[in-house]
Amino acid sequence: MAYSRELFREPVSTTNASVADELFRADKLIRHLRDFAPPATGRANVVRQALAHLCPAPTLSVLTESDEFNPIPPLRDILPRARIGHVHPTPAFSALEDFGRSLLEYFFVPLVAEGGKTSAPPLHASPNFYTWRSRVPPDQAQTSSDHRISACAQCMQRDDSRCVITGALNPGVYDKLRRSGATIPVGVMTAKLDAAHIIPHALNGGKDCVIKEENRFVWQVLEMFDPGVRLTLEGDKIDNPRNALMLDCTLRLMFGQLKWWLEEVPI
Amino acid sequence: MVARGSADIVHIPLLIKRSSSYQGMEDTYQPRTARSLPPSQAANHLTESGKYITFVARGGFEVPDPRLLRLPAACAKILDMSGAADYVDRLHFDAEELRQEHTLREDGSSNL
Repeated sequence: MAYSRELFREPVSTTNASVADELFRADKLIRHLRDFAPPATGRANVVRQALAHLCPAPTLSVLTESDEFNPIPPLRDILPRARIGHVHPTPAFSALEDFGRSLLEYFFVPLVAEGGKTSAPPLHASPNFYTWRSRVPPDQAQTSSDHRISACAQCMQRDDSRCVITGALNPGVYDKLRRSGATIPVGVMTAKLDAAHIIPHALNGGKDCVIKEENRFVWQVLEMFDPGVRLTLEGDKIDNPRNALMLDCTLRLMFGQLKWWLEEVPI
Repeated sequence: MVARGSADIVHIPLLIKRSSSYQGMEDTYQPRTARSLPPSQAANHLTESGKYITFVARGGFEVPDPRLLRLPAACAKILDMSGAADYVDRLHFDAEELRQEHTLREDGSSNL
């Protein structure tokens, strides 16, 4: 572990200012990856993955035991190579830069792209939708869209038809309250709400569980942070209320773009 | 301050305001923002001081999984602190510009 800490803290030395800037960013990215990864397993996996980049095995045989979504070579394969100095033939930081760049291009960019566009179905589907649904044979009735509408409704019920941040009410519910003559709390606003997925719905392969090629690396990194998370969200499970919260549309978009997050308050 | 008279209406406010030394109940979170958060009315709610959110499992539906909430939180912090958020924003801005350029106008014309 001490070995990896040294590597992460080593200053970047290069005469090319623009390259140095790029390297510094990759270096910072990996350092923060280790610092902010979920504790214990997540952090250990980040260190293992960085070491694996610095000390690559001559063949891919070390990966044969690993799961498809967790292709980090075991420490028993990495450490002996690291100890005897079998580091990457290119300078160490070049290897780290490759690692950082891969993370940026194949993890963060698609994650933000998918997060921003994951759209929940309309809270009040058109009457035509339900007419159409009633004509569908029972064995085909549960479509993916159907499932998401139901998940959205569950999430809305749990969160009281409100944005969890602004407290704004869904306009449909507000109207219902007004028509029923209910006392509406002073200062309550309305806003178009969406059920926002915590882990983007679009990352998943849907019911058939076929994950798009470009999203495989995203899942690999999420697995690196939290082993087993893919199974938790496999197929329709990604639409579970545990993976959703009601948000104002603007906030939903910004949540998907990782512009804000929720920090757990210690008990 | 509670609305009554309908079956599916608001009963318990989600937002709880406490002092900054507030120690949370279970499933309590505090919103945090990245430096690149664009200003907006909705975003102002995120930066209000002393804002806490406690999820309650109403209707028997489970609260958001803390394990899942930790993942975007970690990713957002990594992007924000490393400065990589600017790079990602620039990429998406360029992609959006490209998309708009290549989109047909109502009259069928385009910039191509």
